[in-house]
Amino acid sequence: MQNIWLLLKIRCLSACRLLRDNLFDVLILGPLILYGVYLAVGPYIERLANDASRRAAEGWTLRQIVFLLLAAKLILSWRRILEDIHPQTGPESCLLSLPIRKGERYGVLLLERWLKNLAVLALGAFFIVESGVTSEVFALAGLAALVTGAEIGAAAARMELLPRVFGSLALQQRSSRGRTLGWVRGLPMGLAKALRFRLPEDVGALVERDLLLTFRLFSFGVTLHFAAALLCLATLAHILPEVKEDRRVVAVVTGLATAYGVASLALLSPRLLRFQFPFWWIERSASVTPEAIWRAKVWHANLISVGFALLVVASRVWLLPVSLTEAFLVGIEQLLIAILVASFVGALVFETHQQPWLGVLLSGLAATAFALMMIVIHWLLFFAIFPHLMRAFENRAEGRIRFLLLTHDPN
Amino acid sequence: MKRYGTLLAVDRVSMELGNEVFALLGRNGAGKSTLIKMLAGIFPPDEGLIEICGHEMRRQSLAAKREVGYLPENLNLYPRLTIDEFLHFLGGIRRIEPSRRAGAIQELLSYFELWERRHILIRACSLGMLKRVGLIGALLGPQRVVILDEPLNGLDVENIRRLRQRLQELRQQGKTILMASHILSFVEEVSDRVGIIHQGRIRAVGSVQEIKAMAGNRHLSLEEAFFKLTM
Repeated sequence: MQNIWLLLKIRCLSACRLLRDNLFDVLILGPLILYGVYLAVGPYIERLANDASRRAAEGWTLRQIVFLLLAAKLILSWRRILEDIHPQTGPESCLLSLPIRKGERYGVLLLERWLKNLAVLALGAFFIVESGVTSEVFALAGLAALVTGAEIGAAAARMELLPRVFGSLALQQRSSRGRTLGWVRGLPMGLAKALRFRLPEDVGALVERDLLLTFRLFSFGVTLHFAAALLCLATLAHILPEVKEDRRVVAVVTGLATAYGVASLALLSPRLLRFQFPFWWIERSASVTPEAIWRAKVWHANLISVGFALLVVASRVWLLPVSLTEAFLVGIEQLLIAILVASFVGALVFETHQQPWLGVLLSGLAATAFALMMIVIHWLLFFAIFPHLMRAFENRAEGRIRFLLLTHDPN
Repeated sequence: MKRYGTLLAVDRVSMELGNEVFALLGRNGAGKSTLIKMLAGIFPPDEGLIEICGHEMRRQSLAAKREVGYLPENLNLYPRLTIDEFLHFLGGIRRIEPSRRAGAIQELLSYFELWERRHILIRACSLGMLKRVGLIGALLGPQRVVILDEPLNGLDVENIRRLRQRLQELRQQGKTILMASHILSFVEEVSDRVGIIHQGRIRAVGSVQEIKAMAGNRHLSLEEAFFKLTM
């Protein structure tokens, strides 16, 4: 029991200090952005919730929908739980050599996972109460507790039971995670090769490294960025059939979906920079120019996100068939919006990497402004905005990078 | 024995350590860290037994781990805890009474020149400080076995000297010290026995003089003897 209290104590201390370090984001920027998002997409979320209730009446119970969501969460957090149970890389790895009972470690883990799942529970409960199905709240609470037990149980069976049944199979498979998947290496290298004629050697090397890290999911948060982009696509598919009569609205909705989706993917660049910052001795010792570092980040933001515009165009053409010429023009328009938004996010990487919520706010505002400008006025505006924007940011970013190279040495 | 996929990392290693400083030598990838992690209870062996002070590691892991202080090669400590908080946490887990714990921590922190800096966060520590925190963590408590994986990385000359003295004191107190290191001069100076591991198997065990004799010439340096035995 004493060990449980000690483990909980260090977790609480760490969590409190993490909160203290990010107080501004949590108390000011976070709520501001959440409120902004609520104002912007609140009605659509409400409609989705109503749809869910309607489906419940048509045969899908609300419990089944929630179960699907929680199952998705279970799959997404699988690797994290395995690492929690048998930590090999993080600070928790020191616990394995200490005299702590497995039961104590699992107890703390269960509590921790349950608290994390509580966030999902609270969100689910909010929508269910809003939909007037209050009796389901308790079912949901039970379900969430069940999912916590299921995810820990499944992971424990994987780590504790499998090795006993199949010898060292489980640990073998886990150690094979260290090997890389062929396509993960092939895709970024292919992209980098394709760009070699366009990019200087040093920028190409930096871009290739950034792409490799991104496709190897350098952080669990990467999946959230992809999920946000998919949400934009799903919302577009949901809205388009309803507004198909008004071409203007269709254009605006398509442009905004592209802009927000691209922004959510391009925001991986500041996240990656934050992750890379402890390893900046490489940039420092390799004497890469600030210009090359900045260009690499802008290219990275573009390469990981601009393809999303093509998905949006494909969805729109699929949902509202148009002529080939019109599809081509829509494609050009969306591509230019995507490049503008991605370049803006990439160009601001060195301003926003330490303030992720500020990055979200600025990117969201810029994405809205660029999409509306290019759709309401004309997409040719791109050629007026883009060069001016990049020139202005380049000068600012170079100064900032020089400052970071000189002053922020974590080694 | 321990396998990683098709790689046999540790192969039929059998040895017994007593009240001594035992140094494990081997090239990169020879299996030193895997063997050490198995002894520290981090990985179970695929085959075979590990017994620490009479406790079998798989069946009585709790009792066995109570006897072990472990310094990993790659230190990854809680970044948002202070040095003091982290050491008190370790002391608590090892069931050191609070009244004795504070004194033991103060003694070790002072010994490794960290007492003045005990309230800084671990994430603000330099590599040398981090290594000393890890060392203190391994030495803190009544455990009879201390396992140190590459203890010298990041330590300055002064702290290497302090560590050498402390290891000798621990040996005099009847403790067992197992360490893996590439710094052969340090190994030659502090260790009673040396084990050379190559491709997962123990090639030679003995005192430094015996190892040199096994290599064919008592006048060889330990480095030359090591290369001869691992060719």
